[in-house]
Amino acid sequence: MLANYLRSAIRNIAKERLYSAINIGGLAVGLMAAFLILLFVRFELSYDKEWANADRLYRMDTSFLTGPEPKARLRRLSGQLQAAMLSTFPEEIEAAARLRALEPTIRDGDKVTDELVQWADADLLKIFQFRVLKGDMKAAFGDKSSLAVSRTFAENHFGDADPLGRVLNLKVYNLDRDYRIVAVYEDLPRNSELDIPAVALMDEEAFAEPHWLLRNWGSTSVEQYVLLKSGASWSTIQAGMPGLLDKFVETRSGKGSSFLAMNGMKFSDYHAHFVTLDEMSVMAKMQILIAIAVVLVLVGAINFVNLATAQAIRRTREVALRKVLGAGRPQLIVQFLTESILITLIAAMLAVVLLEFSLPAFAEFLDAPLELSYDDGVFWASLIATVLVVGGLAGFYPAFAISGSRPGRILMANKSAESRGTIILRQVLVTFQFAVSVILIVSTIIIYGQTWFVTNMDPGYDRNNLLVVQGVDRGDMKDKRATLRDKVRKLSMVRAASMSSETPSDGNNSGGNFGPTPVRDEQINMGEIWIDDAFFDTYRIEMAAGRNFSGTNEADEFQDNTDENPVENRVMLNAFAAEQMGFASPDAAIGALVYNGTRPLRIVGVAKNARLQDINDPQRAEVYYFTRDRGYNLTVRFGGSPTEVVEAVRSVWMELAPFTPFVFTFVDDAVAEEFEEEVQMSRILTFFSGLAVLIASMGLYGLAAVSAERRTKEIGIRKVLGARVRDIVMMMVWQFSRPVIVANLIAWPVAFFTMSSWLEQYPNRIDSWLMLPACMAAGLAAFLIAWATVAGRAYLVARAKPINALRYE
Amino acid sequence: MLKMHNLSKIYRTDEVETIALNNVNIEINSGEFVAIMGPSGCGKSTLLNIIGMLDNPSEGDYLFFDENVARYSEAKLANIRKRHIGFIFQSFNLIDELTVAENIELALLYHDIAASERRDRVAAVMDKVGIAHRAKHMPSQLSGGQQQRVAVARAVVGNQSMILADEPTGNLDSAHGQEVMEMLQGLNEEGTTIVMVTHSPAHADYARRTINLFDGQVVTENLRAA
Ligand SMILES: Nc1ncnc2c1ncn2[C@@H]1O[C@H](COP(=O)(O)OP(=O)(O)O)[C@@H](O)[C@H]1O
Ligand SMILES: [Mg+2]
Repeated sequence: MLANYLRSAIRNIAKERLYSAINIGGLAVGLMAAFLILLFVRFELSYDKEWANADRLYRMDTSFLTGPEPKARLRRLSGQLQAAMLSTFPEEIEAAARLRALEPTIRDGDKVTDELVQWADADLLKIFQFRVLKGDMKAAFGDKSSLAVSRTFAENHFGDADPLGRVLNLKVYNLDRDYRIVAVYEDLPRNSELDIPAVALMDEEAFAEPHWLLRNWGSTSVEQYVLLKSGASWSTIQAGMPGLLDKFVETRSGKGSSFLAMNGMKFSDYHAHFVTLDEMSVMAKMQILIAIAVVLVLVGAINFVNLATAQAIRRTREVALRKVLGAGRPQLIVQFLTESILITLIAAMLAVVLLEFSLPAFAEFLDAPLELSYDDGVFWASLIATVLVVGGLAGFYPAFAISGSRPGRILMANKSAESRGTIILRQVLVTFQFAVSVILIVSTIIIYGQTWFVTNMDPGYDRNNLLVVQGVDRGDMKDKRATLRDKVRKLSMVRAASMSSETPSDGNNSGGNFGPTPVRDEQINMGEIWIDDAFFDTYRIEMAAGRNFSGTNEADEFQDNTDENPVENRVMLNAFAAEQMGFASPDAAIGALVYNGTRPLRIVGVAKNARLQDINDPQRAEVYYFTRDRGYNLTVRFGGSPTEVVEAVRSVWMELAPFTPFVFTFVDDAVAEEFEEEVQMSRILTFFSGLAVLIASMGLYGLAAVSAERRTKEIGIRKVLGARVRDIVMMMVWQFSRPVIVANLIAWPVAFFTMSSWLEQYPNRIDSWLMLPACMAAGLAAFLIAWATVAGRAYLVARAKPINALRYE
Repeated sequence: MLKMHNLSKIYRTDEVETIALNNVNIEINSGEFVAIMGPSGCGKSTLLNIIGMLDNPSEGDYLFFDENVARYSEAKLANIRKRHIGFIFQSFNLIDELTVAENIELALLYHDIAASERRDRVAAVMDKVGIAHRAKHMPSQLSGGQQQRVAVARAVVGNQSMILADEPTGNLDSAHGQEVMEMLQGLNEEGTTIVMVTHSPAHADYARRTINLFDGQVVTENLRAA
C-alpha cells in the first residue's frame, strides 16, 4: 500500500514540475536558513557550559552608584574584591581567580609586538581546565617569571620550533621582566568568553602602580571568577556583599555600598544574558533569530499548503476515481500526507546540501565556527522532527480538503470544486507571508537607517582626517611624548596635534564628582579629560563662551592637590556640564567657582558639546584640565593621504622610541567599529528577510500560475468577448494585490511598534515618523514583487489564443 | 459578408498532423441563417472558430467585408471580433463566479461603454430573452436552458451583426433546445446573420442553408425552399 502511495506521490511530484519546484525550492531555502540559524543559536548558547563545575562557577560584575542613571553593569571590577571576598566568605568559596588583561610590549630578540597577555591568580587552574600540550601548566604559576602560552601564540612567535624554555621580555607599566615559557596549552574553545592567549602569575608588586591597575576600588581592572564550594549558595554571598563593601572600601565620605555594587552571575549564563545597560542580550538576539527561522519555514510551508489546495481541482478527478474504486477517506488522507512528507523530506535533503555548500561562507559572515557534523544526533533529530511536523502540517489541510469531496459531483460537474473556506484560507496565508515580508523589510530599513544616522550624525567635532597615536605614555616614549608631539606638528601634512587623556571611541572614560558646591550630595559624576591647549583646535570643537586654555599662561595648568591641601585649578567645561551644574548659559559659567569634591575649580571657558565618547552613549558632561604633557594619546589632524601621514608619524616615533611599538587608529574607523554589532545585525536581517521575500514570491508565482490555469476558461471567455492582454493582466494583478494591501495594513503597525521599542535603546536615534516612509517603501517593494511575479505569469496566459482555452472542457 | 477561398487548417502536434479543413470555399451573406452539419471530428468547430476569428487558417484567404483577415494578428482579430461577432457555445461558457447580469455585461465591458448605458442594455437584453428575474443569480443556480439564454443574451448585447453558435442545443433537452432555436430564429428575422453547428436535422431545418462537412471538406450545400 505504502509503495503504491509513494509511487503515485513520486509521479505526481514529477508531473507537476513547476509546483514541485516551488514547493521543494521554497521549503529547502527556508529549511536551510532555519538549520543555519539553529547551528548559530546552538553555538551562541553553548558558551562556557563545558567547564567542569559550571553549576558553581560565577563571574562578578560591578556598578558605580554615583554615576548617571541608569546604572551600567561593568564587566571588570577592582582587583581588591577577591581578597575581601575570600576573607569574608571562607565557607562558601572554593577558589577565586582574577584575570588582569594588559597589552605588554613583547620583545623576542629584534621582534617587538604589543599583544594581549593575562596575569592571573594560581587558582585559575582549579576553576578552568586547560588542555596542556607541552610542559607543565602549574609551573607557570610557580613563580613570577614563567609564562604559559596558547598553541596559536606559540605558532605565531616560534613557528614549528619548540617554544618550551624560550624567553620573552614583557614590558608594561612598571613591569619589565624576562619570562620563560614553561607550558603550551590548546587554544581555548571559540565558545568561551575567556580570552587567554598567554598567561602569567599575577604580580601585585609590579602592578602596585598605577594604582588603578589593581588597587583602586573605583576602577574596572580585572575579570573576577569565583568557584563556590559544592552545596554553598550564591545568595549568601550576594546578601553579604553590601556589608563587605562597607567594611573594605575606603571612601572620603559615605559607605562603600552607597558607592559601589557587586553582582555575580553564573558564568555559563554570562555570554547569553549579560548586558551592561539595556542593550539587547545575546539571548534576545537569538530569540529574534529563532523567530525568523520559524517564520522562514512557515513561509515555505505556506507555499506548500497554498499550492496543494489550489491544485486540488486538478487532483479531484484522481481522488474521485480512487473513491469509485473503493478508497476510503483515511486512505486518501494517508496518501496525501505521504506525498507532503515526501516533498518535505526532499526539501530537507536539498537544504542540507545547500547548507553544506554555503556553510563556510555563512560561518565567516556570522563570525562563528559553524559546521555540520553528520554524527550530530541533535541536528538529525531536529531535522526529522521538522520534516514530520512541517510535512504533516502542510499536508494536513489539503489532504482533508481534497479527500472530502464527493466523487459523483466531481465526475459529473465541470464546476470548480473549491470551497469558500479553502479560498479564504489561501488568502489569509498569502497575506501572512506578505505581512511577514513587509515587517522584515521595514526592520531592515530601520536598522540600516539608524546605523547610518549615528555613523553620520554630527558628533560636534570633525571626525575625518584624525589620526590617533595610542599609548604615548608607554615604555621609552613616556618621557619623550612632548617631543613627539612637537616633532609631529612640524610635519608638512600635519595641521594640528594634541595630547589628551581620552580620544573618541578608545573606551577610556575616567570621571569624578563635580558640582556647584563642595557638598557631596549636590555633585554629580562627570567625565574628566586632561588636554593640552591644541585639543579643541585639533578636534575642531568651537568655543561656546570664555576662552581656550593658553599655552603661555602657567596659571591655566593643572596642579596636583589633595582634599587636605586644596589648590584652585582652572578648568574648562563642555556646554552640557555647564548646564548640569546649573548655569543658565555658557556665558554665565565663565569665572564661576565649582568643585571636584572639596577642591575648587575656576571656569575659564566653555566648549560646545561634542560626542567624544562612544557615539551610542548619551552626551556626557565633561570637565577639561590643562596639562602640557600628561596625555596618553596623541591626536593628529592631517591633510592629504592617510598612509603618508602614518608613515611620517611612525618614522618620528621610531626615531624616539624604537623599542616601543607604534600603535595608531583613525578616529572615523574607531567610530565605525562601535557599530560593528548593528551593522552585523542588519546584514543578518537583510539576508534573512531577503530569503523570506524570495520564498514568498516563489509561492505567489506558483499561486498565480495555478490561478491562471484555474481561470483559463474564464480568461478565454473574456478574450472572446474582446478583453485585451492588458485587461487580463490587470485583472490578475488586482486579484493578487488585495492580499498585499491587507498584509501592509497588518504589517505597518506591527513593524512600527517593534521598531520603536528597538530604537529606544539608542539615546541618539532617528525620528519615529521616519518609519512611515520605511513602511511605504517596504509596502511598495511588496507590491512590485507581487506585481512582477503575477504579471509575468498572467501575461503568458493572456497571450494565448482564446480558443485553446475553450476547446477542451 | 464573408467569403472563404481555398481555405485549409492543419493542426500540427509533435506526433501527428491533422488536416481539419481541406480547401474549403464558402460564402455567407448578411442576414443569412446557415447550419453546418457533419460527423464528429469533421472540422465543424474548426471552421466556426476561423469564421469567428478565434483562430487563423493555415492556408487560403478569408475575406470579411472584403478585408482579407486570414493572416491578421490576434490583437487585430480581437478588435474586429468584438465589434461584429457574438458566440454561443455548447457548454454555455459562463463565468461561474459572476452573476447572470455580470456575465452579460462582460460583452460590453471591453467596449468603452459607460456604466449606465451598459446597465440599460443588459437590462433590455435580459428582458428580451426572458431571464430578467434571474439577473442576480449565479450560473450554477440556473437550468441549462436558462444558462444558454444568458449566453444568447451575452452574444447579442453588443449589437453584433453575426452570431456563431457551436452546437448551442447539444447540452439541452428537446424542449429547451426548441426554445433556443426559436430565439435564434427571432434574431435572424431581426437581421442578424447566424452560423450554427448542429447534429440535429430538425434544428438544421431552422436554417435557410445547410453546409455538410466530411473530413474537412464541404460535400454538399442544401438550400431550404423558402
Ligand atoms: N487544437 C487542436 N490540435 C490538434 N488537433 C485538433 C485541434 N482541434 C481540433 N483538432 C482535430 O481536428 C479535427 C477537427 O476537429 P473539430 O473541428 O473539433 O471537429 P468537430 O467540431 O467537427 O467535431 C479533429 O480530428 C480534431 O481532433
Ligand atoms: Mg465540435
